[in-house]
Amino acid sequence: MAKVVGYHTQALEPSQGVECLQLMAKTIRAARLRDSFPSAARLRDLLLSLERGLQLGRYKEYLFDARTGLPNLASVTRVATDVEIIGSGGFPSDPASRQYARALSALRPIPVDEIETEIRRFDPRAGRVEVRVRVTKLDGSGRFTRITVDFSSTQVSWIRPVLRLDDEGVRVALTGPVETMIYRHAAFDAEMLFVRLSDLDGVDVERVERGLVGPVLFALPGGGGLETLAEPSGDALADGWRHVLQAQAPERPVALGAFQSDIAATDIKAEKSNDPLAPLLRDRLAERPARDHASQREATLFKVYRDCKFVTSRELRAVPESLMRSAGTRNLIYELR
Amino acid sequence: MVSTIRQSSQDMPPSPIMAGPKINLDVLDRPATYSGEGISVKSLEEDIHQEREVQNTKVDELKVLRERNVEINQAMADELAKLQKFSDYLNGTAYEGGVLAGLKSLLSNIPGLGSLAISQRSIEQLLKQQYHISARRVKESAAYVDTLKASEQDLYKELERINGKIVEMAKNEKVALDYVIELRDLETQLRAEMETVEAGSVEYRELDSSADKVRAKLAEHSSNVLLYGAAEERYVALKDNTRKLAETLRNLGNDIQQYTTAASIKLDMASAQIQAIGRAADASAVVLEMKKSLDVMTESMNVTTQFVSDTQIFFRENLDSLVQELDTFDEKTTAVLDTNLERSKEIETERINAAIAKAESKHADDA
Repeated sequence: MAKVVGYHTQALEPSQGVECLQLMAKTIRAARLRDSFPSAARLRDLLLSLERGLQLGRYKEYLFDARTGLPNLASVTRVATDVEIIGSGGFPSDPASRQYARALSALRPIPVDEIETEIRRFDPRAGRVEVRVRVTKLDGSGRFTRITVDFSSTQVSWIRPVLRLDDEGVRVALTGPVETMIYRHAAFDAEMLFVRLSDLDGVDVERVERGLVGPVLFALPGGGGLETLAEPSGDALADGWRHVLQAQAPERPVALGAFQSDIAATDIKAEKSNDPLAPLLRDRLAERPARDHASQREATLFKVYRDCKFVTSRELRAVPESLMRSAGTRNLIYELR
Repeated sequence: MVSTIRQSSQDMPPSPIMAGPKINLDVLDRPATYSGEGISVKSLEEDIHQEREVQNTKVDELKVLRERNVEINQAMADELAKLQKFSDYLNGTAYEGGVLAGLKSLLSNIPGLGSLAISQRSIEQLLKQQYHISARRVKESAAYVDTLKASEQDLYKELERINGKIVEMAKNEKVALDYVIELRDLETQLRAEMETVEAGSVEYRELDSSADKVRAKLAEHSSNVLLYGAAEERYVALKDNTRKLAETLRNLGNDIQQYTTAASIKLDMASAQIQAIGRAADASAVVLEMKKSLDVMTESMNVTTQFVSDTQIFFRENLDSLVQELDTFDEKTTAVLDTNLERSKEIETERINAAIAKAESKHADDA
């Protein structure tokens, strides 16, 4: 059985780790993730790197987050530091290490954190710039999260305090405080970040979008029993998962992944949550705060839309279906083949 | 390699098979077969020097490795201690001065962060960076274990080579010793035979010549006995040093391996805690920022309330006099209006009276 070896940390021995990583890669591939989610290709490269590390004896166990089933900070950092050390030429030179280094040099594993800023459009006459900021991170919840923010600003106001030019005056980057604000809000609703960013002088926020990968709940039947997550997160999802696992012991590796999105944007017509795992903020508030929230939101121009798609093995299809029925939502379910 | 020490045919003509009827001189023509390149004081010194060079190089490498390892271990220990502090912080055991005091103290450990206000940087992001640095240090240190192992293997190969040399020197010494014994026996026989022949006779001269050849060979191979013996001893001493060096490298490698393994396990186990602390700290910062916004809002509301309250008191205090003043104003106005009205009436009456008077006067004139 998978061991809980530390705080939210579980370990699998190499052969089961490889099996788990392959199942994970299959699940993420099946989710057909858009750009608003963490890059599926780079996630796949991370999973492949870890798989090669286990197969070639570089690592003696696969460490993952006991809540989400995804590689944890230790595993992601292992690969990131390997890439760095290979790059600096200080990697061991035994045949297995050389083979591992060769495999890694062909991959671009997703890092722990990444912040990208790009200019979408620039109107020199109006001095107006439209910017897209993407923050991708392994969140404290153990999920890979991407926040995409589209905003515009006029030249007079955007140099400071929101954006800064690089030395050549060609590229823009976020100023520290704004970068920090976006980074920190990964754990909160898109709505909250939209409101906070709108408070900044000279900024017109158009869209804030969050894409979350995970949890990816899995179960691997084996000689020692069923290997599965010790602390599955996702509330209703985890409850359904446990229920199905107790009712029917799967005879082959199975997985159930949730891929949530949360958008706050000015071009959304009606506010709605189609995510059975995450109702709208207003629906989660008590009566009085909900009234306050409603009055505050009356003046804003944006609306919120939440959604979730699932990837599931056939044996577990009942879990998302039951969630959809309870919440009255209609979600995409991709069946894992 | 086998070398044969052979007398030069120019210097020494072939010896007769028999110096006399009873003496066999074959030994003088039979070469002593030594393995290796041959030996001289110079070549032995060169070989030993070469072997020492290998050892010295390894010792120098070891010194550099040890110094570098001390640096890495120190850096690694410092960084792990920082992470440990965070772990203690999470357990709530480290600080008594309150959460904020504890957090500030912790953040002062991260380069560049001590002087920054908490809200300016994401603590989660900084902790992850710190974690990354620590993980890299552990890997760099672990890489030295591989270097040490490779170095140790080199020394064991060297040890094999030295062992080969020792065996070779021992064999050559034995060859030299055997040859020297044979030569000594031959010399003894020649000297004894010389006693039996007439001094100065041809036989005597032949025996004496053979004895000289034997003596020359004895000198040469006795020297080889000493050289090969000395070489064997010196290679044995080198072997001991090389073995000690290899063992030192192995022990050092094992120590580093144990340390890095422990550090690596510690890091692996700390990762989720690091994330949890960062997440909690960032969430606190977000909440603090929200509170600040609320404080600003509360302040504006307070000001407004105060304004309203003050206005109310003002009205309450001043309303009566205002109304009174208004009343006064009204009374005066009315009085003025009344006066005006009366005066108007008077003017009107006067005007009418004047007109009547004028009319009556005109009418009187006409009459």
